[in-house]
Amino acid sequence: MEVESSGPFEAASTRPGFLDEVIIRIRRGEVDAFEDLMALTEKPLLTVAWRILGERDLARDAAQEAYLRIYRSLDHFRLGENFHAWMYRITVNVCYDLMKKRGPSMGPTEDLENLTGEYQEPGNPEEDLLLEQRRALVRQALGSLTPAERSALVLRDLHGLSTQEAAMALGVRPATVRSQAASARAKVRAFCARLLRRNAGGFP
Amino acid sequence: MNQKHILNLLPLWVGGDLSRREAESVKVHLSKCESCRAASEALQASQAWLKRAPEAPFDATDFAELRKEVMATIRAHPNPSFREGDGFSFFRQPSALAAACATVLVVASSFWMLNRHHTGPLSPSSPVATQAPAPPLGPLPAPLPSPSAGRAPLHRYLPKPAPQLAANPVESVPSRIEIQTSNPQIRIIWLARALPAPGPLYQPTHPS
Repeated sequence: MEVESSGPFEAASTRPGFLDEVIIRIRRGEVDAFEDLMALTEKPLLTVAWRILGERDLARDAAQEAYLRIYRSLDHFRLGENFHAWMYRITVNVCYDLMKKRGPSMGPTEDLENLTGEYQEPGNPEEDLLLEQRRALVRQALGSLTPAERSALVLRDLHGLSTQEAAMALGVRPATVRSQAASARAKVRAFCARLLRRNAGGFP
Repeated sequence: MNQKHILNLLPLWVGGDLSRREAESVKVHLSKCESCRAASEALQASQAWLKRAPEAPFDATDFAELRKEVMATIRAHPNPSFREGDGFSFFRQPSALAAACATVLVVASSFWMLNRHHTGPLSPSSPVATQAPAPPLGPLPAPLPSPSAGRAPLHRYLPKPAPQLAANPVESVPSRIEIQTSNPQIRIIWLARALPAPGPLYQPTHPS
């Protein structure tokens, strides 16, 4: 799970049960406590939405809608269960809804020029270029997957959820997650091999 | 396991989704088969790329804007089920509601069972107690004879014949039937008095 830890609030948030305390405060009617919940979860939620949808603005819309749905249905969440898996399930459903509205899936295929907010360490220009090429390749590979395969791969391999947690987040059986993730891995590997063969080079 | 089967299992093996026995079989095969080993290395390399997947293109400004938009909507339309300190938040949980219903059911059934098996004096508030007191009971009927006592005359067990109508119908004795219910405090008494018929309803006229 990706949770930021850079300030006093973030330090307190690493305490076990802190998230449950925040949820209890929200249920008691403390609206401001929801801002704390967002601070704890916004980075992984927004990242999942972006990795599934592949578009920055669409991911922001998805995150906004997902948080509103989380707020409305927070009284259905059972304390002590995996909140992140529950949150991912809502986020994935919102992403699927947006994909249906948008039409055929394009996947994460943004141009490098559009990635203005991305953090980059200053370094060798050649290394930066190589890094960007690698990232673009991964984005294209993710874009070549079906939404179900992409969601399974993103949650299982990129966000570190277990098969059970990913199954809960996607609302499918664990065997389905295993199958979809394996299919996605094979496709990504084939995609990368095809591109590299075309460029007559090795793995960058 | 043949080579094709191993190649199919490799994506599961890389993700750690195989059972221990299957993973061991794949590992043994990879130590012997050159082409499968190359395929697994390519798969692992692509997985390593994925693990270093692009960071999401969002910074602190994006997060702040997202929070601002969401919080503005939430403040404008707060969830009505989240009420501050109303003391009923516990009962809004489905499990708590089910537990409360079960408790009410158990208490109600306990009271019902108590009333059913109640043998002591009834409370004054009971509607049965407001009835007129029952007249003193007559002597209990004789116990049934045991088979060894010989057969008793049958008429002893038949209902008593209705009293003969007196010459004067006004002075006729009313019949009294008492039925004792399972509750000793409740006895049903039926009183009936035979009245003379008002007269022949139909008098045939015989031609004389």
